[in-house]
Amino acid sequence: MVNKSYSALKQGFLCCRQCHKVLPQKQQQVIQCPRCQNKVYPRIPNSLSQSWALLISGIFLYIPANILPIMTLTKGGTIRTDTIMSGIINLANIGMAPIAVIVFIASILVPALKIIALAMILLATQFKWSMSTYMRTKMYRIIEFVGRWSMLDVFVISILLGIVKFNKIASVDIEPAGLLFAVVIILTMLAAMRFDSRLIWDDINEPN
Amino acid sequence: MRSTLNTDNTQSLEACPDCDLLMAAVQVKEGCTSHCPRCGHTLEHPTRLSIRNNFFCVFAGLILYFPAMLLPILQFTMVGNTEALSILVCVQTLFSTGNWGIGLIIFFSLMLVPLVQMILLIFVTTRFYYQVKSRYLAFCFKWYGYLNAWGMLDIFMLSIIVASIKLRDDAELDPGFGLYAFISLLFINTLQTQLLNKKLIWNLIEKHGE
Repeated sequence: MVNKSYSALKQGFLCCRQCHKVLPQKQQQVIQCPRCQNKVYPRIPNSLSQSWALLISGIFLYIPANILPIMTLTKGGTIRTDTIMSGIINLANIGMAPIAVIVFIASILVPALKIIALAMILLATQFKWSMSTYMRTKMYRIIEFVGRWSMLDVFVISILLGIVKFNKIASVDIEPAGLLFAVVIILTMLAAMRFDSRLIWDDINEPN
Repeated sequence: MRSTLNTDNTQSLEACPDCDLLMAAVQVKEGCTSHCPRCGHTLEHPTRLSIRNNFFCVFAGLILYFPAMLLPILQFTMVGNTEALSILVCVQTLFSTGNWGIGLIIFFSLMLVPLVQMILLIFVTTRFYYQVKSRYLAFCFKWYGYLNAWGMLDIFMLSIIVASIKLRDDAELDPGFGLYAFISLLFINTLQTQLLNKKLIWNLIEKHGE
């Protein structure tokens, strides 16, 4: 395909972020989309700062979410308190390696890589690094797709709590890290949503 | 490219939502997919009778929704007594044990978001039968889009599997009828997302208003 590229904004057009309608840019900064009544901005206002704020709060909560215990299982007099990592090690020890790998990917690998990748995209966009725009867009799409899957562990502890509740000799308690972890995932999802991927393509040199 | 682009009429233009590349709008054949030439974003993937099939999917989804949420998804036998767990009971248990934060998250992502999305989409796909203003249709479809990232039925399916394996040694687990309804709901929901042609629906909403 033709590699020459002209963004809509540079040619005096705005694209509605919600319904993707192309509108001519008026004098005033903000116009209303006639099709979906959304306010149309050239780019999401303060996209980078909002994204940074959400991501940094996520990073701060990520540390206690991984260090603090996520749930306590009391069974027949023995009390077992698990963090996310020790729960995975325990799964691997009882011979459930494939499931342990799935949980490891969903709750350790994905959040960590997501935070690193999003920070890289934000830094590269803010400081105009010469990082491939195509790569950055690909990374951003992967982040948006896999982000939700980290909720896996939160759902698992809820099901365990629901099942064991009826039982007399065993009990499950959800510890603070359960909620913290869920909040980390929501914050990083919001951070990815507030980032306007069109900013990646704005600083490339366009042929005139 | 610039010389061939007619910028007089915005109807004939299309911009990639991911990278803002301005293009001439093209008519995509059913079954084909159009991609952005610059960033590879999937622009449109029209399917045959997508709106009608969407309506049927959502209708089937609404029927399956209630058994999936209210009937037990797992039956388990622990030291002699059998109990059953449904999604509603799971949420209730979370609230009654003081885990209102996680309870709210599960309530929103498993119960509220899928239901609201289905109701909104039923409204949009049957727009010809109601005398509704296109403003309301646009409002509904906009909210459908906002909620899209927050429904988590597919993740819950995987967590059912993980939880059953974790409890394999402690309890005897059997699938309840709710689980079959839940799997069907998930299947129908995924199919409906695949069939949804946002561009077509937005164009129809725009025409409806004229």
